[in-house]
Amino acid sequence: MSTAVPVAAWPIAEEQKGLWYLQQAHPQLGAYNLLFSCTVEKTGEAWPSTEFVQRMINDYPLLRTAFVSQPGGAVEQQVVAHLRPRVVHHDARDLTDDSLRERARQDSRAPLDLNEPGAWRIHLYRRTPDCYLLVVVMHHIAFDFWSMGLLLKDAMTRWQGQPSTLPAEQANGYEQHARQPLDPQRHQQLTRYWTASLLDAPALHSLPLDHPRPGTQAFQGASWSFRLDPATSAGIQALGRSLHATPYMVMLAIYTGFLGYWSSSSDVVVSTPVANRTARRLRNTLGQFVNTLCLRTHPAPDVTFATLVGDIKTTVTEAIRHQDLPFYRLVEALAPKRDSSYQAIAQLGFSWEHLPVLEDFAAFYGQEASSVGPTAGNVRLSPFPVPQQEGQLDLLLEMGGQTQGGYDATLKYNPHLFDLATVRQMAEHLAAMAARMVANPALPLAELAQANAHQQARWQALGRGQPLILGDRTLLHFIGQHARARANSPAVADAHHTYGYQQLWQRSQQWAQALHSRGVVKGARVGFKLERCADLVPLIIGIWRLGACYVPLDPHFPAERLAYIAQDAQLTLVVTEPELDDFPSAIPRLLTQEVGETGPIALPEPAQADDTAYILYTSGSTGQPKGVEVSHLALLNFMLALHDELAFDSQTRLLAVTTPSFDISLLELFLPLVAGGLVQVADFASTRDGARLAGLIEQHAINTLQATPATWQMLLEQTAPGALETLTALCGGDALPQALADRLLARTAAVWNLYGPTETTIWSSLARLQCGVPVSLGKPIANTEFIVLDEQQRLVPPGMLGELWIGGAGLAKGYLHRPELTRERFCVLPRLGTQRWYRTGDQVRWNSRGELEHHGRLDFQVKLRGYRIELEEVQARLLALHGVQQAVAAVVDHELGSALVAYLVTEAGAEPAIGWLKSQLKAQLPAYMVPTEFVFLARLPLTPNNKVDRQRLPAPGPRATRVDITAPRDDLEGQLLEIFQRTLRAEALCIHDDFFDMGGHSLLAVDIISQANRTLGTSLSVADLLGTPTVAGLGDRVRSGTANASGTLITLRPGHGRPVWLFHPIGGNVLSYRELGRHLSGNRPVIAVQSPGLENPEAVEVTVEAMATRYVEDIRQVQPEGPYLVGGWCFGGAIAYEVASQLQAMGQGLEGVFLIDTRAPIAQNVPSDADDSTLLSWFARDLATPHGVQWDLDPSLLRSRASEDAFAYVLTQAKQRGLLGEHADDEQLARYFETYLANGIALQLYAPPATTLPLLLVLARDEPADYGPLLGWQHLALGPLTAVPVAGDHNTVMYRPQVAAVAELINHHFIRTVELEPQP
Amino acid sequence: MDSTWTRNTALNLSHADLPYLRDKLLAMVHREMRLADVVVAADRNLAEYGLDSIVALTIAGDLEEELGIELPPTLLWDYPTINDLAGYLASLAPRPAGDAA
Repeated sequence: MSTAVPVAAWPIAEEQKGLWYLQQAHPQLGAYNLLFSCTVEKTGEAWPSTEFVQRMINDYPLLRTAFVSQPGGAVEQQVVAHLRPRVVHHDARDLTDDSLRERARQDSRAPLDLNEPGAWRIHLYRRTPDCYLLVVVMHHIAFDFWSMGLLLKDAMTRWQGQPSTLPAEQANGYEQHARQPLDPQRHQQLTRYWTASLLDAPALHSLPLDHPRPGTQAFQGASWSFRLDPATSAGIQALGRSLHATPYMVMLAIYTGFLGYWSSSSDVVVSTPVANRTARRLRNTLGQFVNTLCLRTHPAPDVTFATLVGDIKTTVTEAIRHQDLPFYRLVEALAPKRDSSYQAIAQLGFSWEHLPVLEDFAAFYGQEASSVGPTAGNVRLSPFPVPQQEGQLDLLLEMGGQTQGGYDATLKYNPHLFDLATVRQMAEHLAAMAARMVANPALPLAELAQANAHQQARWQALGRGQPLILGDRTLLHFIGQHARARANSPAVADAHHTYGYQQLWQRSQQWAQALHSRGVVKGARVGFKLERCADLVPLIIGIWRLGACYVPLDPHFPAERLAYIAQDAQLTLVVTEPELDDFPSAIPRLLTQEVGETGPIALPEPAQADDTAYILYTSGSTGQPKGVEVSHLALLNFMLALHDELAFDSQTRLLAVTTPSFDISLLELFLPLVAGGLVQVADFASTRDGARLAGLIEQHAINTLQATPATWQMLLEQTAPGALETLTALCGGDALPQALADRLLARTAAVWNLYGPTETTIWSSLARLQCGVPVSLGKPIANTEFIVLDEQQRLVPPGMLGELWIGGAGLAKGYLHRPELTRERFCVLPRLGTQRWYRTGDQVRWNSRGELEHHGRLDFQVKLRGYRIELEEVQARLLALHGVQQAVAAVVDHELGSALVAYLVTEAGAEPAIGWLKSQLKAQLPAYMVPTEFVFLARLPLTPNNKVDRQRLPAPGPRATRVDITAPRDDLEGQLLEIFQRTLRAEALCIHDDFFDMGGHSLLAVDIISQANRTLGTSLSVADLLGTPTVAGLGDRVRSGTANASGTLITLRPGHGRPVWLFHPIGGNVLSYRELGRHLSGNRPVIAVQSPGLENPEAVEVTVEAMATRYVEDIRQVQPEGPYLVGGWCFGGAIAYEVASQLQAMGQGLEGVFLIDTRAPIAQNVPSDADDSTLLSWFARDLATPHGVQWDLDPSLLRSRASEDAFAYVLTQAKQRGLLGEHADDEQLARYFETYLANGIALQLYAPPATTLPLLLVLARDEPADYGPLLGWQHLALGPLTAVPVAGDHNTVMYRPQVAAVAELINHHFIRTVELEPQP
Repeated sequence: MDSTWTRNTALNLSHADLPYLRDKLLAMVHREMRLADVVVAADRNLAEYGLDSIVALTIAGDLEEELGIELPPTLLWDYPTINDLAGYLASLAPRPAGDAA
């Protein structure tokens, strides 16, 4: 803070307020630093005097101004009498132009401290004794570019020894401007206009991002410069003339059309700066006048470009008519939902900086350095542009200059969101669109957005898989070869039987003969309904050897559905077991026991490449499933392509876990055979049990496993850390969340992500996942082609979202007996030749690495735990049920996973019971397609177009009945489950339900543990519950004897590196930190220290100092050396403070101390009526908060009673209010309260000295108890004290949603570092 | 770019008539839009001569100061030809006393 006394002061102007708040909120902000840069070369003998700089400083008060906040929130501009220029000297001797530019760019971004007078500085980079790079940095809050121009011109004049031509009175007119308040009537008028204009505008743009948006903005950016060619540039001017619009308006229309196309939106908000100096008297005034206007544009695909220009012209004109509402007032008026991760109202910008005042310096703001420039005195100035003002918005297009007739353009983008490769793609497309638009203004935007033939060819080439020669062979060829070459090697095995390759071939002969004798001929369709076993493989091979195809019938499907399939496919016969046989008698069957040894007989011709290999039935939107018919050619292509990619060989040992009624089972059953490896078929029960699968993996030395993400999740949770180490993990069938991918990478040998619809044969693309690289669908396999198209079936530029169409050898023949549907989904695209393409309905985009990313579905097909479901099929079935008038099926995401929910409108008086509905559906649909939750509505929510508004379907209630995903597996789990359900008052929990997610909290936790220990004789502790909050987890601990996790340290979240240490609040247990632990970023461990008194009342320490000494010992067992990061909520903060002081006294380093709504342990903060009753009232309050209830119990009510009575009173009241269960353990709670009391007394006695350590204080803004704005910490903080308020009161800050803000502050201060990527 | 307008050529609405206004506006447009050799028709949209935003705002601001009345910054888009502009400005002139209202 400057010590100079100000000679003048005035309030900051409206146009400055937004920037002031921004800089205060983000002290590292450099995105609003304006630059002027140039090379300065001495051409004569001596350097001329630079005295004129000081004279300018003396003449213009704005160069001597600081921005100082006043008590009460006002901000003043304070002018000091004297200021010397701040010049930073750099030695740049050995730097190339590029390195120097980068250096200057970084240096100029260093923030300016607005509290210091003179919001500017000068950098001088000495390249040679006669040549410097000069960079002038000014903060936008004080000067806009117009002012920069005025100052530069003035500087040039003075440098040349002439008197200034800038009239001082006008130049210093900003004070007068700043003092003018906004006319209230005008303000109201403006606000009305803008609120109407931006009503219901999208809050955030929908340009596809390369990376997920970070939680907070970093205001860092990068630039990509390009140029429109002279023809296009001239075209823009000409079009402006003929449409009576300015070049700015035409270019804005081009940009808007481009943005609309790339974001697939017709409602795009673009911000644009205006100089806002229309009045002549302001043209020579120094200061900041620029305002930001938010323009609402409508680039709909069917609008012609000329119309769009007209619309933009109207929008811009009206905006200028209302340009005097300061941007920050606009934000105030619109009050959008504030999200710290993006700029309010508009994140996309357009600026056309063509100020006459800067004309003389135009070359200095071009794109290239040069050595040609004006000479003055003994000095030549030449352009050396340095990128500036990056990071203000997600994407900003800056234009205004011209080079040799072509418009210069720079895209400034946020590199945390967009990769350079994507931005270059955008620039290229924008330039191409500009050319087409000005040449064909009468065409609609959709057509103008198209690429030319050359570009299209390039885009199409991105999605082409490698060619692969298949010849005329089928899989039989390869298996037959192995049958000869490795006759005795094991091929397929299950728990009971192993087939060697030759045996496999011989068994398939037996099957073929048996089938043949029952009338199976070439082209016939054979169904099988069998439990998983090794014999399935020779059965299928046998079917193929007859030239027939197979149709799998899942033994777990309802009979009605299987009968339908059998009928639809016109099966020649069904192979099955007696126990599974519930087919209508009309269908011929072959029982497995009927297949035996027979002498070799000649078989008819086996399958050829274009014969059908299998028909698989998938969910159909009309209510009946449909059969996808796949040829041998497509199947062989898949096998050979994957064989290459995955490098399967004779050492491959794969455990087959997928049901044969899903096509991905073919990879498991046959791909290893193509390579000469082994297939181990797992039985059904094992596939549901991670532990058993792990057992099979070990037993059979399995090195390859394919499964859906849901199954992998189960495996990771149910197996020991080393169990999956040897596996090559193949994952597919559903979206793979990044977190799961990371865990898989850590625990397996290799991970592949696979993608593909059934209609293009099993999988069509794959990606080998790697650490640090985001999950993607990878690239298409051999002989497969991916193209991404818009709604008009035209190729979209890479980076843009579109629908995936697949072409190539993998295409199925079509849908059996559904020619219209086949024609609809498998089509020819005339513009792309005569080949067929399959329309996937998947929304995708190419990322900058040339891989495909998935971005949801375009229809009502969903994946639920890997199962493909047409929501319309479920709806159709629901509607067919008696009493149901309207039905909508939707997948709803819970924390526990996703669930299929049915929304029903039923006939009045005929409301069907949920149980009945479920049983009806179970008879018709596979179990995974039966909704697990039912919501009855009076009417369905509709959009303005009278379609069902899925966004407004209510979330199902938290205690809705759930289907047992996993039921208790033994008596121990059964009893635990019962205790859970009773305590949580929930029905139908499953053993994997998380206690805390089901509504559990600290006191219920204590309750549950004590019940468990009492009834089961176990010795579980609350720490066990924190570690594994599920019935399954607790059961495991009991069984393995690892119950009663140790002492004071509770790991809330494991990780690497130095832990974040949290200390227990007044109750002594650390359950309240659970949410905080989840929200802290990074992967440092989060360890909480709980009071030893909870488990052993003797072990409790009496003073805070003694507690801290003990905890320091405990901590140093885990982290022997600093620096330490410590903190706590409430009393925990006081402990953290003492721990930090003790560590500091030992010579250990501290990373930081954070205090969450802790009141400082000073005498003034001890309430005069502090006694047991006060503490008991806090205890009561604590009981209520997790229930979302406020309970303010007056201590005086308790004081009148004896202490045991008071306590009993609280318990009774708590039970009456439903805060405790009827059977809550009073003794346990009494002990809990004793810890509370002891800690409370310790706190009252604690009076530590002040500290020099920096403190972060998080204040609960809504806490009514008043301990002053800094809770007294100003008395203890000798070093920096950062105090930040967050929403919530003393208790609610630790729960969702408020705790996220608390975590974010800690993340920001201590944990997260934002690194800028090096520029290419 | 400062306008080098001086008091001598100041516009004065009190004795303005349309031809006078038109001439003055033509001169302003020629100067600000750098159309030295171009014939600007008084009934053609100024955008056809390459009007850009800054010039439009500058002319509006200059006129505002010269006439001492408030004019919208969008003046040249609201009245895009010299005839329209002159007509609008003339309508703002105070009526001489004694005129029938």
